[in-house]
Formats: sequence, structure tokens, C-alpha cells
Amino acid sequence: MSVDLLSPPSSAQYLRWLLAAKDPTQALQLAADHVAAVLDCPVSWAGLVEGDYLVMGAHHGVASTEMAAAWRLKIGEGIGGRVALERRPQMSRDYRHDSRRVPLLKRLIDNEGIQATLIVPLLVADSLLGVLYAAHRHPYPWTDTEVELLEEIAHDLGVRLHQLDVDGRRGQRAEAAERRAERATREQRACADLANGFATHTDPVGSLDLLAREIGGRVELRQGDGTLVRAAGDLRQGNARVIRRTELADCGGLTVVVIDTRDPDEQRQAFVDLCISLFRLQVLRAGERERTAERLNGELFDGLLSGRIGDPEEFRARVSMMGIDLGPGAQVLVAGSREHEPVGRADLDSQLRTVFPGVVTLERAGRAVAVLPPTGRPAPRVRAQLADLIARSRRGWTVGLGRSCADLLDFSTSYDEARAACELAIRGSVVGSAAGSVVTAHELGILGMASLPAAQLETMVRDVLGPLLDLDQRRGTDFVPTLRTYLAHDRHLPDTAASLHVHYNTVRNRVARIEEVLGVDMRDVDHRFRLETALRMHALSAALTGA
Amino acid sequence: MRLITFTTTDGATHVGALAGDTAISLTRAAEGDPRFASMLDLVRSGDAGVEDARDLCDSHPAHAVHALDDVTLRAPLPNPPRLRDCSLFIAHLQPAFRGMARSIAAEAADPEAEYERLVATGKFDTPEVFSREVIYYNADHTAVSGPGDLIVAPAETRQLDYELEFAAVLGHTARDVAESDAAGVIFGYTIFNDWSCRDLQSVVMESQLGPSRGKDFDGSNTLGPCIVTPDELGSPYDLEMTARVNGEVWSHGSTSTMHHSFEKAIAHFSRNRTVHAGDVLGTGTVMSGSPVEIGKRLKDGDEVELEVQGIGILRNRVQLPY
Repeated sequence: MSVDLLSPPSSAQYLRWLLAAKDPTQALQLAADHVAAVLDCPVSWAGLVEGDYLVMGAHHGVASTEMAAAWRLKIGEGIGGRVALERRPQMSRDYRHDSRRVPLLKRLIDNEGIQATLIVPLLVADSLLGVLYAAHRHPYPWTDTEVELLEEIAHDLGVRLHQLDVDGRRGQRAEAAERRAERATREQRACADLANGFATHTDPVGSLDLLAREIGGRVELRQGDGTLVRAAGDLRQGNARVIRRTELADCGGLTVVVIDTRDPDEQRQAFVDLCISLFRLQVLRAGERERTAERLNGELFDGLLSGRIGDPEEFRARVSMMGIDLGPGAQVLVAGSREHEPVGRADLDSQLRTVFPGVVTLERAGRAVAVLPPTGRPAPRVRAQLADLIARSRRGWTVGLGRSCADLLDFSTSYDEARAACELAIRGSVVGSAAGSVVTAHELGILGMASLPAAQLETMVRDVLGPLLDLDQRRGTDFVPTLRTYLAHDRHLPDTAASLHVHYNTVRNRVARIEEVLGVDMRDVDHRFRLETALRMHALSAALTGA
Repeated sequence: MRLITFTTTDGATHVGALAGDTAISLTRAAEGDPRFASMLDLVRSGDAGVEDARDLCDSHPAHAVHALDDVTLRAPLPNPPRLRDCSLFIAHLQPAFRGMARSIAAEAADPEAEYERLVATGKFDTPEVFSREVIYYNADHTAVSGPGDLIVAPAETRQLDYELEFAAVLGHTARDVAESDAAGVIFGYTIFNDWSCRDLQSVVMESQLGPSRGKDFDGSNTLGPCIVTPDELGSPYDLEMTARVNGEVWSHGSTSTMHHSFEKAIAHFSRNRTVHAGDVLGTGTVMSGSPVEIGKRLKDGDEVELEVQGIGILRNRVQLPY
């Protein structure tokens, strides 16, 4: 037996030969020859993994050409197939009594006269490269030492085969890396093209077409509430799915949705994200330009706040592309100052922006006006935040807050209310109970009046209070203020007298005179309602015409 | 097997099977065998057809294999001869009815008082008959859509909902099937989205003649993405069910909460009547399986994914007029 004859130099020699091998075939052949020499067996061969099969890699001592050409074993089948599957050595001391053999290969092996085999896997780390055989042409009792020797030879061979890239994985990896690099270059160019395209395009709507062209698939631009602003691009064959949904930061809830029929890999996802980031820059740029233009001539918001909107769809799309959210819940406010110092638009803008990002400010009718985007917060909370903000700013501003808008057409009403509330509050001619830094039309009891044209307001006031106003004007009397105070104190004479700093009887006389002049009865609730309404309209009319 | 219907770029429709990231065309592999012309033909071909399909999956010519990315999956059974949507789950009915009452009450001046009033009428309780027998309605079997299809809601609705359901496809035409034999009648299982216009539905339900136009518009019944055969799925009564909207989980349940089984439904429907190969039986909605039950609303452009463990993901986007 040759095992005892194996000397360290022959093992070292084997390693040197392996290192000298220039390709996998040479290395395999060296190993097969070495196995035969070291284990003193007449036959040895190596099977290599090819798909689901083991195929002949190299052989030593094989007599028939058929064995060399046709030996092919499915992984998992026969003894060698099991070695490959289970990745541990197997042996057969006598083939004639072994049930594991594959019928197909039985004839080949029998023709070779092989009767005993020892087989070990060729492994590198976790990956299987093949199997290595030692065989005798007579029954043979393999020893543990022989198993260890064959495993050692297989280990060294495995390492060298890996170095020689026997399974071509290194080549494949290199090719894949090259393909990735080429794609990265292509996509970088596409990004550059996109950036250049954006630079020459002033139209934000056209920018979406450019984005869709570079990304491929369908690209949609939607508002925060899901409303479609615009879509571009077409879908390829396949099942559509959303591959990216990105809300553009600081763009009023605008969201880009990319729909494609294929799932993107990591690289494509990164490319899509980069393109969307470029698009966000474009939206911010276009929005800033539009805002500047808007600040200069105010055409867009003039239409919104006066209720003159030609095509609501187009209006909404344009405003969206400016990154402005006019969705349900937006509100208008008008800011003024009791000290008759005008509120600066820029000042108001910077104050509001901290709590209401996405706010739009402008100047209108000599006042600073702001459109607050929908916050999703309850109305009292918005009001409280606003009051807190104004208190902290120590500017002494008075803010009229308009209604929450459900529709584009509500904005003019919201503005009218905000303006009316602001003017009334500044003049101190507040008829309702509330008077603070933030006031609403509702609190001032002028809901529904704020949007009436001035002439109509005036007519309605004159219809009720005309003779009294004339009297006050002609004779310098104080009937109108007396009436207002009397009603505000719920017809309580002593309180009214105290408030007006006049005698109790004076008030009583004046009230009697008012009833006579206007032909009303203060005990009648309908009469009082008419008078109260007219007084509020009067205050409103005075505040607005004086503005 | 995971059986599918798909179209290729040349516009041809194939019945096939999913195999990893490929679609095997049984239509092409069978070379003109009429049993593989469509899913309905395959269903009608009985057990022998299914066995032959299995053989074709194991051994087929290379030109019968398509990369999944290159084909478009359609509703696996686009033309069922009948589509019953049943109330096999019943736990969800109470929250669904109450949700509808809440929607109606929202229009009133005092929504809370109106809701209490509506509930007190008893019209928004689950009738006891739902637990006693298998209640169903006939959905429109011609209004079937498939995976990836855009679901366009009718112009008059202001509240489109998905419904997270799954369904059994019958593989045999039969009559008087005993409940103990009924499993043998089932061809396979698929996911079912029973799109519903809640606002329209709550109006027409007052007629007591079913959901009517509330659940009836082009594409209102989505099936897919595949039909999984019983041997591959195992028991259909312990599967996780999930609905996601734009990737966020909105609904989650289990088929283990079904009150009635498919077998019971088949026995019930075939008593003195014929059930047909290709008939589809929807389960009804799993508990919490619809936005109306959980106080949520879909937005235009939302992507809805229904997932049933072992079957797959049925994905659609919605186009809403509001």
C-alpha cells in the first residue's frame, strides 16, 4: 500500500504543479494523476458542475473512450451525485452489491471494470465545483486515511480551480460589473440631458414630459389630495404598477408617481430618484419665478381673490406647478395694524412661514394678504397657532381670518371675510363680542355680509337707519352710537348710560326719539334684529370704504 | 400549479402556468389542443385536462416559455359562466352596514344624532339569515377585470371602495353535491376584488333587491393574478389576507374567520340545481377588508394591492371622478 510511501515532498510537489497549472483542465489532470499515484489506485477522475449535472473534467487510467466522453451524472443521483448534493464523501467497497448506482451509468462503469470507488466533493467556501473520484477494479476496503488524503487533494484542487475561475463566475461578475458601469454612464448622461432640458424649458408642464421621456413609463404629477395635475409618457406591455411615489418636499404636497410594467432594480431606482430630485428643483425654480412674476403683477391671485377664474382646471394646474396647495381647508388672512403702520408683506411672509410652510403672501388693497395652505389641523387649532404667532412676533398686528375654502370659488369669500374682519377690528368698531389679534367674520357677526358690494350695503343701511343717520349728520346728535350701545347692552338702560357717560334719562329720551324717528318698537324682536343687522352693515361699510 | 391567462406582444392570448419568473404557455406547448385554448376550456376539460397541463409544465418546448416581464397577465378566468359573490365571511357585515350609516349621516345637520337614528331603525344591523344560510348575489360575470387594469369608477360615484376577498373556481358541472364531496368540485382559488360604490350602493339597497349599480360597472370584478390549484395551495382556511393602499396596510385578516366553507356553499347551491365548471364563488369581504369599515377613503390614482397568502398579489390603480 502506497500511503506510507507518501512523503511531504510529493504533497509539496503537487501544490507546485497546481500553482503552475495554467488552466482548469491542467489542474484537474494533475489532481487525477496525483490521486492515482498517492492512493495507488488505477483509475481516478474529476467531475465538474455544469448546471444540474456533473460532467467529465479530467481522468486518469480510464480505458474506454466511451467513459471519457459519455460520463454525465445528475446532481443528487447515484453515488457521485449524492456527494455533490450532500457535500460529503461517500464510498463503495463493492459496486456489485451497491443499490445506489444509476442504471444509465452502470454499463459504462461495468465496462471499465470498476468495482470500488471513493468520492469527495470539490468545494470552495460554500460553492460546489465538482467531485473527485478514486477507483479500483476490484472490491476494496477504503481506509479513513485514504478518505482524508483524497479530501486534502480535493481541497487544494478546489482552491486552485477557484483561482483559475473554473466556473466562470469571476468572468460573469466582471461582465456584470462592466454592464453596470455602462448603464451608470448612460444614466448619468440621461441625467445631464434632463438637467439641460430643464434649464432651457421655462414651462413646468413641459418639464414633466421631459421627465417621462428619460425615466420611461408613465409619470403622473398629483396634488396632496390625489388630484391629477398632469400625466406624461406611455406604458409598455405588461402589468402596470407604481414603482415610485415621491412627495416633492416644499412643493405644496405635489407628488410624482412613476408607473411602469417592470420592477426596477436598485440601480434603476437610484436613477429614477435622481431624475425626480432634478424635477423637484425644476418645480421649485419655476415656482419661484412664477411667484416673483405674481408679486410683480399679481394677476393669478387677483383672479382668485376676486372670484374671477376663467378655467378652474387650468388655474389649479398652474398653481400646483408653483408648488402652492389650494386644496380643501386653505384659508385667506388679511393683516393690518392699529398703529396705522402698514404690515410689510415680506415681514408677514417670514413670520407665517415658520408655522405654515407653503404660505403665499401678497399685497392687495393696501394690506398684506396671505393664503394659508391646508394644514389638516382643526380650525380652532389653526386660529390659536396664528394668535400665538402674532403675540410672539410683538408686531401688534390685527389679523382677519377668512373661512376655510372647499373650492376655488370660496377664496374670494374667504378674502372678503378676512378683509372685513381685519378692517373692523382695526377701527375698533367691533360689534360682536370678540376683539383680539385674530378675528373672524363669524365672531364679528358679519358672516354673509362681507362679500356684499359696497353700494348694496349702503342701500340696506339707509333703508333701516337713513333718518337717524341724517339726523346725526345734520344736528350732530349721537343717536346711532346710542342705538348701538343700547342694543349691545341688551336694552339695559343703566349699563348703556354708564358706557356712554350720560344720564340714565338721557338714554331713555334718546331711545324714545329713535323709536319715533325710525318707526320701530324696541320690544319687538324682529325690529331689534333689523336694527342690529343694519348697525353691523353700517360699521362694515364704514370700515371698508375708509380702507 | 399556478394557472394564468396572459397576452404576448403580438396580441395573442395564452392560458399558462407560472414557473418562477417565467410564464409557460400551455396553449403553445399543447400545439392546438383545444382544451388549452383558454382557461375556461381548461377548466371544462376536467381532471384529465389538469393532469395533462401538469405534464406540459414538466416538459414543454423552449418556445412555450416567456419571461414574465415580457407578457401581460390578464384575469385568469376572464369569462366565468357565473359569478356569485357570497357571504361566507359575515363578521364584517355589521361594521360595513354601520359605516354606510355613518356616510349617510355625515350629510345631516347633526351627523351623530342622524347616525343614532339610522342605527335605531334596525336597517343597518346584520340580519340573522346571513349566519343561517349562504347568502349571495349574482355579480356581473361580463364585467371582469384583471391584474394591473386601471379601475375607472362610474362618474356618479363619490366613494369607491375595494373589497378584500378571495374566490373558488369550480372545476366540474354537478348537481346535488354532498358537502363531504364538494372539495373535489373545486378547480382552484384566486383573489377577488369586489369594487363597490358605497354611496350608490346605500341608496339602491333600500330597494331590498341587492347592491345593483352600487357594484356594477365595467371591470367592477377583478380576479387574479392566478388560479392556484388545491394541491398547491393546501387548506384554503388558514391564509393571511392583506390589503395595501400605496404600500400602506389598510386591511388585514385571515381566511380562518370564514363562517361558511366553500364546500357548504357548493352543497347549498347545487341542491336541486346545477353548478357549472367555471363558476366563481366569491367569499365576501373579510373583517376590516374594506375602507368603509375602517373610516378611510381612496383617492384618485391610489394603488390597491390585495394579497392572499399562497395565491399572490392582485394590484390595480383607481381612477376616480372626485
